[in-house]
Amino acid sequence: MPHELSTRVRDVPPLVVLDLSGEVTTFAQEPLMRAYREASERGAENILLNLSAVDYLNSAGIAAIIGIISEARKADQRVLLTGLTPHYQTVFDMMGLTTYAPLFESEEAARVAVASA
Amino acid sequence: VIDSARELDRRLFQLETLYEIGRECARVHSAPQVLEVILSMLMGAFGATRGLAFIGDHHGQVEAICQRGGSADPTGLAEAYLSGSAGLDSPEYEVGVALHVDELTHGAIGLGPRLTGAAYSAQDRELVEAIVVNACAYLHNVKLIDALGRKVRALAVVNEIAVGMATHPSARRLHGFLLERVARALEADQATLSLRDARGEMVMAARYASTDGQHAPSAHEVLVPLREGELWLSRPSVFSTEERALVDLLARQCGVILENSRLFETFLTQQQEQFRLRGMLEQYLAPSVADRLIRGQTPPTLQGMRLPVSVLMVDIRGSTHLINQVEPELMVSLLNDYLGRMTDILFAFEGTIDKFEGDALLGFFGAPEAHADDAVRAVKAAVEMHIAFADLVRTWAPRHPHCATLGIGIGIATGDVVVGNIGSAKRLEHTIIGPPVNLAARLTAKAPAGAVHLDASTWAAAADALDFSACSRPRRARYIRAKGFRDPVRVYRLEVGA
Repeated sequence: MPHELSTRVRDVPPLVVLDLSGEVTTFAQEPLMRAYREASERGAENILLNLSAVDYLNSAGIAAIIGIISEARKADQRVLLTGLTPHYQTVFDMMGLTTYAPLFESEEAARVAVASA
Repeated sequence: VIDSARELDRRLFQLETLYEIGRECARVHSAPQVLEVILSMLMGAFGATRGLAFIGDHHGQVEAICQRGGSADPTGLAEAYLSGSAGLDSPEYEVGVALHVDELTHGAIGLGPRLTGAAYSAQDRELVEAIVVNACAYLHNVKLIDALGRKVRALAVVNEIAVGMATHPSARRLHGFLLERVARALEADQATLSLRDARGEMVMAARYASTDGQHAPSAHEVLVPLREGELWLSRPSVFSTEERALVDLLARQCGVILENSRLFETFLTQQQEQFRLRGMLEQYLAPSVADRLIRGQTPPTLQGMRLPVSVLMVDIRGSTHLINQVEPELMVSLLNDYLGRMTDILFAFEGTIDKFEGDALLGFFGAPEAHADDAVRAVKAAVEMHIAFADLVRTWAPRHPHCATLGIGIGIATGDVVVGNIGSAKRLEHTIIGPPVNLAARLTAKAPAGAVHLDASTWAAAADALDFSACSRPRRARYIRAKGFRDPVRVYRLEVGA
């Protein structure tokens, strides 16, 4: 399935990590939201989207991530990002996403930053 | 400079959406999926947190709807927009762009506030419009493919209907079958087939209701006249011009099939009646005569009619002695052989059987079909009967020596009889009544084995046409006393195998 996005939810206190792999396109919306809800049910306050295994991401995928950021803001949660290639870093930055979802070089860097905040 | 560069990057990213939409749309195959692709790509390209896209008809019927980021049910808004009673001026959507898909389908896309909170610029709006205009082509294409698929399915139905004819012989099952196939081909959720009855009144012959759960009230319908009725289909979505043409095509085919079915049923009924009648008639008529009678080429003589006929009676000589010598079962078997052969010969000359009485057979020539040579036919049949009986005796004799001395006597009398159904309402018999019947019986009783007794009328009518190669020519007439006849009866005796 070319559209398929795989997600995995991991607890890395104080983070809940959402590992995304595959393509983040139009049809990533549902699995992404499902993973987000699972993270929320675990009581996550800080959700790290790990995009290091993402092969392809387009504007529909960005819309899906915006959806999660919007939902998280309503629920007083923080979304963090890691694993973005330089190209996608530029795109996320240009779209203003990094203002609402800070970008970290690694999962560990995100964990330390949140733990020390 | 940096801001300009970022703006340029953003514009490039947004323009890439034009290409990306094509790439994504190529991977999906339905209008709702295409709509979802367009909406999500636009939202991502412009960073929108909320979006709505829908298409439908001008009556307000929604065909597909997609919402992202909103919480309220947008169906009412979509219906109002589609029917033209409202614009897309909802405060939830900062940018609204119309979708023009085809003559019957339109819709809109709305983008809500951006994640960054930045307002949409005039350039943003222009770009959204440009992307939407391009994306409409994908919606149009997917609908065309969908329509093509429906046509292919409909053509398959046409073929299926033709094939199904063979397996749905009864009219009631055929009506249901046709209606169900047509309704499914047109994706109708309700359908009826009405046909005119014998009084010309429209009567519902079949009704179809989709089993796909509860449907919205069907807003659109199509009514097509058939040759002998009408076909009505209904569904929630509008019927396109092409679909209406397809309904017409299917309706025409249904009309032909129904007419064929009606003719076929009539034919079957007639055939059944003919088989029943033939079965009855062939008990006492030659098959060829029965056939002409059924076809109406020969008028029936069911009512009593006075007609000239030649009556033939054949009886076994010595059968009383034989009955005392053999087992009844064997006697029945021998009689069946004998009467079967005599009947075949009678029918070969197109004679009619009146009745079997023990080992005697009474037949006649001249009704229900008259031939100019009925008397000749009767005499020739009698000679053939003697020859055939001699053959039978030769067959029987080796195993049943008592049969070796058997022979038949035949009497033929010609004159007017009344032919028709005689009896009571409960039991009727098609028979003949009149002096020639009695005379033939008397002549038979006096005929020794191997002889044919002809009365004077039969002799006068047949003598010139007989060649006497298989029987002797009577040198003179004889006179016999016959019970029931005051004066002696003049008789001509032919002897076969003498």
